[in-house]
Amino acid sequence: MGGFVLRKAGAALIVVFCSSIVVFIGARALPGGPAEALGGENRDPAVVAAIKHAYGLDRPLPVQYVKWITHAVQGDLGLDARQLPVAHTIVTRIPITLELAFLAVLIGTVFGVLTGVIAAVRRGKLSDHAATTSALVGLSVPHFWLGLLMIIVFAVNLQWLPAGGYVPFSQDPIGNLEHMVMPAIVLGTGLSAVLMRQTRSAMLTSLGADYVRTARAKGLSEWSVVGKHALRNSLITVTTVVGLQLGALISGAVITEQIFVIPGFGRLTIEAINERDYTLLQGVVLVAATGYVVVNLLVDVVYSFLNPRIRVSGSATP
Amino acid sequence: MSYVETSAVTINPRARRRRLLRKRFLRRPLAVAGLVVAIGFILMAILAPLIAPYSPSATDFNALLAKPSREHLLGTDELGRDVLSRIIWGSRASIEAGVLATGLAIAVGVPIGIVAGYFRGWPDTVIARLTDVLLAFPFLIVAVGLAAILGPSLTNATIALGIGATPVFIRIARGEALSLREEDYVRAAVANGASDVRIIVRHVVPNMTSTLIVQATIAIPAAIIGEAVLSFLGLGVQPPTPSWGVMLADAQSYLSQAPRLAVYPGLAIFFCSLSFNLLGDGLRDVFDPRTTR
Amino acid sequence: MSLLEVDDLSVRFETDDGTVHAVDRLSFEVGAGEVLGIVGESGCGKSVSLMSLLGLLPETAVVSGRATFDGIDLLAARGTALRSIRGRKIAFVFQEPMTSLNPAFKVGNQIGEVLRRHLGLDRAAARKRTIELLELVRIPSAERRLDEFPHQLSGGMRQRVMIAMAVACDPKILIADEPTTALDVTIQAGILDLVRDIRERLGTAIVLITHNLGVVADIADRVLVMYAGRKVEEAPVAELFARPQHPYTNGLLAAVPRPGAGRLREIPGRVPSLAEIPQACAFAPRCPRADAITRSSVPELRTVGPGHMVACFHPGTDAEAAA
Repeated sequence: MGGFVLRKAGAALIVVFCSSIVVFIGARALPGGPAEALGGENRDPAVVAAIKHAYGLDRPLPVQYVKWITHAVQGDLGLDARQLPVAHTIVTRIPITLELAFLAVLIGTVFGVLTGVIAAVRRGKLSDHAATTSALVGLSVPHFWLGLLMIIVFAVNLQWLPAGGYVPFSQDPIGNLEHMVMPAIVLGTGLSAVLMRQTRSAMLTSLGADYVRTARAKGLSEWSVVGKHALRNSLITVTTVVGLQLGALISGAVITEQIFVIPGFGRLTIEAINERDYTLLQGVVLVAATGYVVVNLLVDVVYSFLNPRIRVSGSATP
Repeated sequence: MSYVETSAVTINPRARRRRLLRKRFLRRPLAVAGLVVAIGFILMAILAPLIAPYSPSATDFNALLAKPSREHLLGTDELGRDVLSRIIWGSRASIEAGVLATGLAIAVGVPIGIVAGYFRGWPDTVIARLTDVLLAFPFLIVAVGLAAILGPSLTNATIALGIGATPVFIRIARGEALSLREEDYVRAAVANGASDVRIIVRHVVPNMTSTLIVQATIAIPAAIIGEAVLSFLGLGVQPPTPSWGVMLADAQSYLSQAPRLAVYPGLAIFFCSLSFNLLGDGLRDVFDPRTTR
Repeated sequence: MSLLEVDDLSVRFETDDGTVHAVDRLSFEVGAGEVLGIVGESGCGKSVSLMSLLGLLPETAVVSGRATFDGIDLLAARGTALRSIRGRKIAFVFQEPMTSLNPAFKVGNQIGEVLRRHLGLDRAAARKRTIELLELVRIPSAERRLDEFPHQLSGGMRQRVMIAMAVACDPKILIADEPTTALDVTIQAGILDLVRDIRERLGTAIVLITHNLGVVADIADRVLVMYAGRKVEEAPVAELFARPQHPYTNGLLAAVPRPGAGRLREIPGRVPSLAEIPQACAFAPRCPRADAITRSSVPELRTVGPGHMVACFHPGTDAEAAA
C-alpha cells in the first residue's frame, strides 16, 4: 500500500508543478496585461513601463516564474489589486468553501449510497423505480436552477431559511447551518444522483456473486450479507466515482456560492477574473489546483485501503 | 443430379442487426420519449424564427413582468419581452453549444484516442497520463479561464466546453481501440497485409460507434447545462441574444416579484437535458448484449 | 435412522424464456455419519436440488415437496429458522473456491464470522478456534494464513478454507458440491482425503455431488444417480459398481477410461432440454434399450435388490441386456 501511495503522491506533485506553470502563463494571457491593470486609468506608455519595471514585469518570463513560485512555496502569494495579501484572503475564504463542500459530500454520499443499496436490494419493485427515476432527475436538473427554486420556495414563500449570505459557525452554529443547508443540498444533488446509479449497479453485481451465496449459506443475517459482504465490494467502485466527481464539485461550488452569495473560495475566483486581478487569480487557481490534487490523493489512499490486492502488494496485478 | 434454382435470398448481417437494434429500442417507451423530445428541442432551435410569436428582443414597456395571458403565453420579463419567444430562441444557444461542443470533442478526442490505443508505445503513455490528469479537472475553471482570455461569447463558450469534454472521448476511444486491436478479425486483416489506416477505418472505427453514440448522449446534456452555467455567469452568450442561462441570471433579481421567470428557463434546460439522458440510457441498454429485451 | 428425508422434491425456474424443470419428484434419505454420493452430468439437477434445501436458489425458483430435518420442513422454513440451520446444522461447500470467498475480507475473518454468529464466541476465542480449524484442514502456517486475503491463497487452499468454514460449527450434514472439479488433479486427492478424514473424525454425514465416478468409488457409502432432474438409480456403492442396472449408469461406468480396456464408449446424444417434463423415460432418446414402452410412459422406481432401486423398464447390466 505504501508503494502505491508514494507513486500517486509523486504524480500529484508533478501535476501541481505543471498546473502552476499553466496558471502563470494563463494569467499573463489575460487581456489588458497586469501592468495596465495595476496602472488603473492611466494608459501613458511611460507610466506603464515604469510600473512594469517596478514590479519586475519586464524581466524574462522564466525569471518571473521562479520568483513567483519560490515565494508561493513559502506562503507568500503577493498582493492583490487592493494591496491586500493574497494568501491571507485565500486562507480566510477557504474554510467556508470547505465547509460547504464537506456538507455537500456528506449529504450526497449518504443519500446516494443508501438509495443505491435499497434500489439494488429491491430490484424491479416500486422503490427501485422511484430511486432510479429520482437519480435520473437529479442528473438532468441544472443545479443552479435547483438553487433558485429552493430559494423561491424556502426563502421567499415559506420564509424558513435565509436566501443567502453566511454566518461563521463559531459565531452562531444554528445560523451557520441555516445558511448552509440549501447550498449543500444543491451541491450534493448531482453527486448523489451519480452515486445512486453507480452503487446500484455495483451492488447488483455483488449481490449476484458467489461469495454472497456463500455468506447466505453460512447462515448470516440479511443485514450482514447485504451490508457487510455485498456493500464492501461495491465501496471500491463508489470511492472511484467520488474521486471522479470532485471536479464537478468544484465547478458546482463556484456557482452555488454565486447564487447563495456565500463569500467562499469559489466566489473569489469569479471576482478575480471579473476584476482582472491577476495576482489574486494566480494565487487562487494555484491553490485550487493543489487542493484538488491533494484531495484526489486522499481518495487514492482510501481506495488502496479498500482494494485488498493493492493493500497487500501495492499493485492490482500479481 | 438436378440443378435447383435458388431464389436470390441474401442475408445482410448489417441490416439485420440494425433491425434488431431498432426493435429493441422501440420496446423502451422512456427512451423513445427521450428521442422524441430531444428531436423536438432540435427542431425548436432550427425553426425558432418560424414558431416564436415575437422577436426575442422586442420590448414592450407597457407590459413589464406581465403574468401569462393570451398575448403572452408565458408572460413577459423585466423589459417586456415575451418569455415564450425567448425560450424558443434560447434553445438555439443550448442546442448549438451542446451539439457543437460534443462534435468538437469527438472530432479531436477520438483520433487522439485511437492513435494512443492502437499504436501504443510512448505516445500512448504520454496521452494516457495527460488525459488522466485532465479528465476530472473541473471543466468550469478551464471554461472560465478560456472565456476570460478570449472574451465572452457563445462561440468561445462552445470551444471551452468542447475542450472540457475532449478528455472523456480520448479515454473512451483509447479504451475501445486497445481492446478492438486484439480481436481476431483485426489480426486476420493484419495477416492479410492490410495497412494500419485501412484497419482503423474499416474495423476499429465502425465497432466503436455504439459506445461513442452513447457517450455523446451523455456529453450533449452536460454541454447544454455547461452553456447555461457559463451564460449565467456572464461568460457565454451576451445580451441581447437570448439564452436560458442568461434568462436565469436575469430572473435572480426578481425572485420575489416574478418567480416564474426563474421557473420557465430552468424547466426548458431540465427537459432538454432529461430527454438526452433518457435517450442515452435507453441506447446503452439496447447496445448492451447482456440485457435481454 | 435418517437425519434428512427428502420427499418428492421438485424445482422449476420461471424464466423469461419459459419454464425450466430442473428437478422432478426427487426423494432420498441421508443417515447419520454416512456418505451419500450424487452422480450425474452437468445440468441434471444435482446442485439445484441440494441448494433448494437451504433456500439458496434465486427468486425465480419454485420449489415443492418436503424435506424433513430435525423435525423441521426445510422447504417451508424461513427467516431465523432457516438461518439457524444454515452453516450450523447443515453446511455447504461450493464448487468454485475462487469466487466463493469474499475477496475483500481476510480469511480468518470469514471463518470467524460463522463462529461468532452461531456459537457466540468472542473475537479471541474465535481466533483460537479458527487456527484449530485451519490446522484441521491441514493448512500450513495457520496463524499467518488467518490474516491473509483469498487472492493470496492457491485454489486448493481456498477449498480447504471453505471446508474449514463449513465444519466450523460441527454440522450434522456437510453438502459438498463438486468440491474438486475446479482443482488440479493432484490437489483433488488431497481434498478427498480431507473429506474422508472429516467424516471419520467428526462423524459428519456427507452429501457429495460429483460427476466423477472415481471420486464416488473412493469415498461414498451409497450412490444416487440422477438424469434430467430425476433419480434413475440408487444403491450401496459396491453393489452399484458390480451390478449397475440402469443403462445410463452402465454407460457412465463404461465411459471411465481404464488401461487396456480398448476404445472409450461414450453415451451418444445430449442431455435433454428441461423445458417440459416428458411423459416418457427421459433417457430414451439415448438408450440402447429404448422401445415403444419407454418412449411413451415414465418409469417408476422399483427395488431390484437390498437397498438397490432403479427407474427403468429394462433394468440389468449391459452384459445381461446384450444376452
